[in-house]
Amino acid sequence: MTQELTTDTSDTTPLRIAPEGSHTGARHVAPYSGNLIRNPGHILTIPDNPRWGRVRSRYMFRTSLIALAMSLLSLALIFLGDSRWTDAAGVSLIVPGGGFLYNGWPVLFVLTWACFWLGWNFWVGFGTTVHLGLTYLVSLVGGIALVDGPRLGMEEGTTWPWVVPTLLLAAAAYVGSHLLRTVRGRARDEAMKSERTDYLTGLDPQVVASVVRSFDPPEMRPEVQSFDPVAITPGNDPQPPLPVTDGDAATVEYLLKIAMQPVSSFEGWDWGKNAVEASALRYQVTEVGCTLATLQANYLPAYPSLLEQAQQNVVAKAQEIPVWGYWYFELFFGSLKRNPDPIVGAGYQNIMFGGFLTRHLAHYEAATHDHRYDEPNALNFTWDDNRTYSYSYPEIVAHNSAAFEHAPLGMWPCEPGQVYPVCNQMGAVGTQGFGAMHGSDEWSRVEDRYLKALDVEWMKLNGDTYGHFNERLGLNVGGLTWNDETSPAFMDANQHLYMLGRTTSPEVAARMYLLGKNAETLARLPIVDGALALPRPEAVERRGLKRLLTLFPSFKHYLSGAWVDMSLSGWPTSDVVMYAAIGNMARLFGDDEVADAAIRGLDKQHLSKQHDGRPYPAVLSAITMAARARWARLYKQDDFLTARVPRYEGPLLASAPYPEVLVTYANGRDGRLVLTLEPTREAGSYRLTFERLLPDTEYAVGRTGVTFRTDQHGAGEASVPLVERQTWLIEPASTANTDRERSPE
Amino acid sequence: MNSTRDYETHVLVTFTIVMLVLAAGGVLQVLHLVG
Repeated sequence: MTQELTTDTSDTTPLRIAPEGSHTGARHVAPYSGNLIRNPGHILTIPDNPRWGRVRSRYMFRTSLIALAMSLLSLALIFLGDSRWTDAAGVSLIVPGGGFLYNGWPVLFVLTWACFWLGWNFWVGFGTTVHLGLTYLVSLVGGIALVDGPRLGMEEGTTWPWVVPTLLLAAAAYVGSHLLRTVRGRARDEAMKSERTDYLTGLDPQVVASVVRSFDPPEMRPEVQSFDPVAITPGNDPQPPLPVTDGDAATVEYLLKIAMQPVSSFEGWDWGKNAVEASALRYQVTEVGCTLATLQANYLPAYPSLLEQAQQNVVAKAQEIPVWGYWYFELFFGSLKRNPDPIVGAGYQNIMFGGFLTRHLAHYEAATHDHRYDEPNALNFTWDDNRTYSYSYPEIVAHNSAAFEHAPLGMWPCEPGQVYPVCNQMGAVGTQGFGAMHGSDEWSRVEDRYLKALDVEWMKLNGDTYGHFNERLGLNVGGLTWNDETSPAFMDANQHLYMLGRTTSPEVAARMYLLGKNAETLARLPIVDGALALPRPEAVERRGLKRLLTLFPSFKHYLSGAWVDMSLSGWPTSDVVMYAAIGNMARLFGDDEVADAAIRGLDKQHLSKQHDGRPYPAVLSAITMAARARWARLYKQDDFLTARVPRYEGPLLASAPYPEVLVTYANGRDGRLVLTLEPTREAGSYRLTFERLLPDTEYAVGRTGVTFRTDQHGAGEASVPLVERQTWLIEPASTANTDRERSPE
Repeated sequence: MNSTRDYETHVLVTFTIVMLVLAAGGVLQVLHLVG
């Protein structure tokens, strides 16, 4: 089973990712130098793949045989049993609750389907099989037991014989409709592939080249090449990221607030009675950690004392039960096993915790170059009965790597039995990031297998990527369906691939980005005076039937559960997430003009400090997305995952009163340091300490008139007056030019 | 590619048999009830 992807010699599908003959672990051995795209031709080529990969095909075949066996058993009971009990059993086997209807209990039939629908959605969403299995068993046993039982408004023991042929024919029609869609789907996907191939080959080469350039390493990107951390000469426009804006400051203040709070607290996070699954803490913790790493590398490399503490607090939060304890229940309801261990407790499952955590830690190490989590027992997960599961970052990465090596479908489950590419992207980049930072092969040794699975098992005929499979059945079960068309939930994983898979499958990511016509969309956005101006969403309160239709836009959505009532988050409907998503995508794909415009537009439309400190009335995931769009100017996600964020060697702001002083920029070089600071409560004099300045040197703090002298180690301190946001150049007094001080705009 | 195409055919054929079995069962039951 575990070797199917590598030993299947009959599968002649060629690998389309790397150049010929290069499918070895050597492809991505750190360090990652040069452009991440190795074969630009593969960007424009949709692979010539089978419709279903070989592993998935086998699972599907097995599922079809099970369906056939159940159908034959059902008919055997009905035709050979020759009793009302066997009729009830036969029809219940094929249609859940069918026995109840046969027994004249339509209410129980409807109730069975309501429970079945609920159980189905628990299964898809959380991998729980208990609800679904119990519903099925109860309907089967109950249907048989009630044959001679009481009836509602009818004589005891009444049966409705017409139910048997009706449900058999309905089941046949259900299977037939899926068969028809499956056959039509192949023709449709092949036609779409042809259209898309024409589209890709007809793309403006400049557009493609621009996308390819976005995969350049930092040292090849113009904005990094021209960046000087202390270039704040008056009279010139400050180079980004200066000047720090109100939006920057509000976002920094909020993220530090929720990171620096007591570890066990989640005040200000999307958590509590209003939380919805989409904003579960495990996702938020990762996003906040990655965003703080982005902030440190781009804006605050010279202030590690606070930024590293904040990130360590968030990693500590990841070890709190509210973040990882869900797994115990998912494992129990999905596999009837009781093991709280979130890492190896269920073998190769739960990538949505281990995968997310490794991505989080990869960002931490890349930003800080601190390796405390590499130590044995650095990460501890203590269950409520005091059992503790201890790991190091390398151990979790090794587990991820082994899981990728053994997963039959090349990706492994988030929920019991349910495999989602989005979580696997997280785990893949986390594993890759560790290997890049440490020069180890946890990712490179499984990379080819992963890429082949991505191509062969996960890519549709039309070039899209599946968003989900059940690894036991081989089905895409977003809806009550087994074909490729009718499930609105997890229809595809394209967006996850081009946003998260840029480092693991750069050619595929670029292709998905182009197939989504994102470059064209970014070029057509309404940008007014340098700010994106999206149409305001309709803010109409819907009640009754209209509200129901909003939640369930179609019957398929109802069946699939592809709906989440985001009003439960407590924040109003808004387009904050659209600004954030556009900005984040534009930043990743090198369109800084649009990214900056998106942030300006976001601040213009929505910047408004909320009661809990968040800068916009929006969920935390939207705020972290906007923050990365705003801050990833020099070093972006790619760089954190490929160890391309250089270690900061310049002078340091060793300390500043927190939270009284908000530091939003701290960067320097060669004994000179630039700081942007502001008081958060009141104007006053605040003590700052410094390290790694020039030794035994008199320093001036901007135009404040404050001077201080460093000791023989380059350390010093000064009390500085702070009234409002200030940007100061801290440099030797002998060379200080008081005109260098620059106030924020 | 051919072998995976074979699997796709196997799956479609098997489900077609499932559909026919169920439909035949339903028709026979109708005849049984009418008769």
